[in-house]
Amino acid sequence: MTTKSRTFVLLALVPITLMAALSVRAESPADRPKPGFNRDIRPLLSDRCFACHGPDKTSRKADLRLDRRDEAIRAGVLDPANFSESEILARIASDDPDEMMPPPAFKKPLSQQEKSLLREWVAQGAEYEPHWAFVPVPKTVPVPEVKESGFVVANPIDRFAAERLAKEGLKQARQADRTTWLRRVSFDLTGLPPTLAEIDAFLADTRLDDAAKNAVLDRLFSSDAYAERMAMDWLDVARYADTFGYQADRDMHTWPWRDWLIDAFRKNLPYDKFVTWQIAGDLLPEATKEQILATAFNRLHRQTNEGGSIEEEFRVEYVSDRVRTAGTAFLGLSMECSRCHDHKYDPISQKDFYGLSAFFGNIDEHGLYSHFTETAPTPALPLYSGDQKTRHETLKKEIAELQGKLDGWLASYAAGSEKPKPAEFGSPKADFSKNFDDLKPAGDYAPAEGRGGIGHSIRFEGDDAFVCKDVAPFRRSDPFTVSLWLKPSAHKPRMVVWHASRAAEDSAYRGSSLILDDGVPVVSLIHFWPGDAIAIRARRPVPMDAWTQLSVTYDGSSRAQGLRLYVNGVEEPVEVVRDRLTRDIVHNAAWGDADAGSVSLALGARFRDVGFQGGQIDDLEVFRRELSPLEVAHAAGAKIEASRADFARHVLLHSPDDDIRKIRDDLTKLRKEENELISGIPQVMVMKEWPGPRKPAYVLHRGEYTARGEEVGPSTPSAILPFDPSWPNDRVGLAKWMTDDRNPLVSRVIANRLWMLCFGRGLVATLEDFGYQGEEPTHPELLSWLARDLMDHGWDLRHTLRTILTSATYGQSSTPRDPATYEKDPDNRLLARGPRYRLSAEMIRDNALAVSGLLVRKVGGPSVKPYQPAGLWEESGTGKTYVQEHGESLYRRSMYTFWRRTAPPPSMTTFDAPSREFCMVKRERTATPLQALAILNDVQYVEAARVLAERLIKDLPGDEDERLRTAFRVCTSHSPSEPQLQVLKRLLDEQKSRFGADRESAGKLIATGEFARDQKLDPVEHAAMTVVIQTLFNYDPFVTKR
Amino acid sequence: MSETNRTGCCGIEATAGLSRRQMLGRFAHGIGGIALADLMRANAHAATGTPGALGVLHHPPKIKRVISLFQSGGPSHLETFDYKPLLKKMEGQDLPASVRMGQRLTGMSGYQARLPLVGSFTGFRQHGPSGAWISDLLPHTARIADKICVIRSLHSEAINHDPAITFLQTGFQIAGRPSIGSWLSYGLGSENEDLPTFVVLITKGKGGQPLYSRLWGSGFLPSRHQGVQFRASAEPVLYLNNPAGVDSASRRSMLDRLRDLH
Repeated sequence: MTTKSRTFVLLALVPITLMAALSVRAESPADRPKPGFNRDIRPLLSDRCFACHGPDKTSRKADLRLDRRDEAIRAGVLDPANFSESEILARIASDDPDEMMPPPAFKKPLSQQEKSLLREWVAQGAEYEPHWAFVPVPKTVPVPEVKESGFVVANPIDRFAAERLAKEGLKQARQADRTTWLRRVSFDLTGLPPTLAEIDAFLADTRLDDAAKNAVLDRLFSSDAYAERMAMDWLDVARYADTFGYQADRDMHTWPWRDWLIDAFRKNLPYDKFVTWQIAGDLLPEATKEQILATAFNRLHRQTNEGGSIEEEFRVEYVSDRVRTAGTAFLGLSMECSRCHDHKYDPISQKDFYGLSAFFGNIDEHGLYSHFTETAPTPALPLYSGDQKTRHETLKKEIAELQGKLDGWLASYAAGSEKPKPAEFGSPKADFSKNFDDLKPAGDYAPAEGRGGIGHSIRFEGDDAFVCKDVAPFRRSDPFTVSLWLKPSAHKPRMVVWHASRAAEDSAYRGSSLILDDGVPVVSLIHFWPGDAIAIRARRPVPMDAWTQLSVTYDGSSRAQGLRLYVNGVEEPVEVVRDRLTRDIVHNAAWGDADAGSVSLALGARFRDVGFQGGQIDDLEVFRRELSPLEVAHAAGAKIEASRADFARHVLLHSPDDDIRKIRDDLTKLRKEENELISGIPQVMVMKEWPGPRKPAYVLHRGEYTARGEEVGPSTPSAILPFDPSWPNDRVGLAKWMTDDRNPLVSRVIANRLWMLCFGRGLVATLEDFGYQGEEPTHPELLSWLARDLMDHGWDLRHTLRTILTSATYGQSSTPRDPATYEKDPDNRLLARGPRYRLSAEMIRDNALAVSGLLVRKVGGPSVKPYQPAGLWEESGTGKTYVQEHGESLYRRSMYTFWRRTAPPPSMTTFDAPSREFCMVKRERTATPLQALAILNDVQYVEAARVLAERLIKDLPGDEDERLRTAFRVCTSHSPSEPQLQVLKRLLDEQKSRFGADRESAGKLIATGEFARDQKLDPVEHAAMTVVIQTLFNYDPFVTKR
Repeated sequence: MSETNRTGCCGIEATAGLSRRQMLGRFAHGIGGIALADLMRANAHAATGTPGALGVLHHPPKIKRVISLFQSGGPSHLETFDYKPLLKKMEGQDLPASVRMGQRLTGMSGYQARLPLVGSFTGFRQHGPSGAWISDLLPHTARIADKICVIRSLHSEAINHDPAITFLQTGFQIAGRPSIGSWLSYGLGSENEDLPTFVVLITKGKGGQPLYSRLWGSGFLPSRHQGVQFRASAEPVLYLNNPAGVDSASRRSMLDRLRDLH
């Protein structure tokens, strides 16, 4: 049979897949064993009954659940005294529409065959079995003996496979030749084709297959390409992208996590650690940068910054995404259903979902990222390079030391006994002041009666701010004082009195502000709210309809205790709301922020925030230094009983004493230096536990953020594995629960993923669903054996991969011995042949780049923007322009291609890559004309073809046949047969004569792409050879793994 | 939010007028190895096309195609089909609690000092025997008032563009569900195997419409049901044009040899 007709037969059979699967099951009653609960009965009950009689208590009818035997007996539908007379059988047999089950309205009737299965099962005692995936992996899994002859057995995998084949009466396929195996394994482990030298070396290796193959695996495992290939698959799982998604879809700057990922596979991080780091790396003792960076996994979900969005709505959405992703990625369960109600099929309650969400929601984050600033949403990790970390640590230590000295001095002065001398000072001179006496009405504010009936004050309507253009925003390391008199006429949440910022949520509140929250003053200095900010809050409101003087002083320390609030000249007791400010509080053009340099102090209103409606302000004074308590009192005209501490602070700020002044000056200098240093260090979103008491989590009715129900703490679904009380009740505990030997899912799910990676199909085909609705494993014992073997070998992924790849099952030819096998088992569920399927999007493009020699083997770093059809981003309407890069960015591996969620790269999505908007553990595999068009016409492939053509012409001058032979071999790893060579020769001749007659066209074709070409080559020869290579790129073996 | 009948972004392309041969012919110059195999598969049931999940419909469909215009960023319903005289009468007054009924406000308007009502700036008149109210801005549409059906009862709980549009196109405001066109493709099937059942055209221009490919995505349905975007450019379908210097004769010879190779 020729390759061509094989392809035809294979694909023609796809539509009858289902029939074939059914026919495997539909054996005659005589030769089939009694119905198995897991195999036969649970799928029926789950599909036809559980929606109304299953785990979900809210939709349960007649107080009957059929997912538990004791419950079914209690409800009286199973009769333990006489099973054959059970009510359930009467109901499924009935044709009375009021009696029959499932009811006609459910529209999922039972077939006669299904009814007889149920009858048989009930009559035999209605024995239940636990769902296979929820049974812990046995300590040892017996490996079957193979009694039949004719099976190559290289390791235990083959025994499991052979046992099943023998049962089905199928033969193992022949072992694939060495070249085929090498090509297959090279793509599986590195995503790249073997080079001719690698093929030759393997063919020349005189050792036995086992040793030679293991040597190849050693080489592949230790390559960077292996780490990249493993990371490639995980990017879909982690919904990795370079932009936030949603409407604005701005850049997310999360590629450092991708670098971590590659590195984790390069170092062969054991899978239990791989899971633990990503879930809880930040909480591990003495967490390293890598461990913390790994947790960015939980922050890769989409985020929005759309103006007007409600923060809590999206925060809830993000936390739910984390739960969903962890559920699908590690547990192989679809958690989504239980967000709104108890799962209808699997034993996961709605409470379980929110119990899990409590693990993931306890970080100091905001549901919206920023529109006007480019900062990573908090919590974020600074990514030091070179000696930055050491320098930063040193600076912070020096600052702490000096701060300690000053604090010590203040404390000892305050504790001293000698009578403080009355301080002497004049009225402090403001750097900026405004009494509004000459105020002209503008916007919606206007002059009003001044304080004490003198002159004017300013009265606000709340939509327009009075902007003090001369007052630049305060910086994190700058001491300052702002004082003013105000008279509110109403108390509302969040009324803005003054601020030096661009906006509220739309700039992550970056800047400084004084607001009245229902009349209570709140002062904040914010880099990114809430995780990078200091804020203090008074304990009582200011009076309405009366003038109050409010002064805010700040010492430049980035500490909440460095902020002071004075009411009518007297320091006001406050509570600390936030106390972690690590970065500057101004817009910085170098960070990509908008409006850097144009923000100033403003009064009475802020962009998309609550204005000081009906309020008045008078006598504003701004100082570029911290006023002492005595000065504030003086300025407010207050008579205060100054404490020793107040005196101490005054003396500290004004002391002529050289020692104190020097410490103060040094401190100021160091703080500025530290601020400059950290400003130059990028950061990435990570997980960081909120330091205060755990934030409450709630069951949300119908999943809606406004419909809070019962408060819940962190918990895990007990039906999978009870949570060991010795584990910490945080994400570390969650990781321990996941990676515990008794967790039935995590090891099976990853073993199944590795199998999928090698065979293109999981032992459980539904990688995303190991629950009742998922498919059962084709080889349950093999899956358990692989899971156990993985755990027994320290969760070493390479070990398991090696076991699979050296098995005879994997080593089979992708052509079965008997063509009828295709018909019986088109999906290769029974493993009667080796894998065969189209390569992934990344592999196809990388393959073309690799064979042409264009591939740039630089590992990691920011994403790149290679060729892309013009105008795609513009058309997507998010206001972004794709600026294609040049040089090596055009030839990096596809996993580095910039991924915009609202307009993902068509070179990838055409070949079934997902949008990366949510976790996807399995790609579809489709075959569409568009894919052929892409390979034929995308400049990336045309260029690769003409570059490979050029290389061949130059490497093999004169010998055209050898050139064609090599071209074929480079593209397929195999040597062409004589007829194949003749086809290529004919093609080359046809193209040569065509381009010979039209040299201009030849010139155009070989000018495709930006890579420099050798102008000395004959354009006709070059163009004709380019078409030959293009043909080979479209040749089935180029794009198909077999 | 009230909407008119522009509810979906789907367009089921009827292909009744095209023979299978024509369909194949249309793509024939650009079919390589993969597509070739895909098309050959189609021979198996060329006569039937792709049946939909619904199988036989309970009544014969009267329409051949659905063209749906989703005018993201288009004129408001208040200036087109949704006549609200009371709103005009109460212009300038604050939004009454009886209307708002505690509905949440967006961060855009939620902090405004006031929430005043603003009526339509255009006049409305009744047209045709049906007496449909249509804005004076649409004189031509008004003349066919009796040929159109206006639905004013659609609404969404979402208050931001992205979730609201996602809801309109997929029935759910969280991304990941199939779009309406995908459902139609899935349910009704197609009379052919090769042309997309669901195509999408978006406005030509400089990013006027924030529309994301997810809005015509197939969600959890097989990806063949996802909308195929036709672009307003020289290359309506990505990668359709031959590379520079390659004409259709050259392509033909190449594809013939490719077939020989297979």
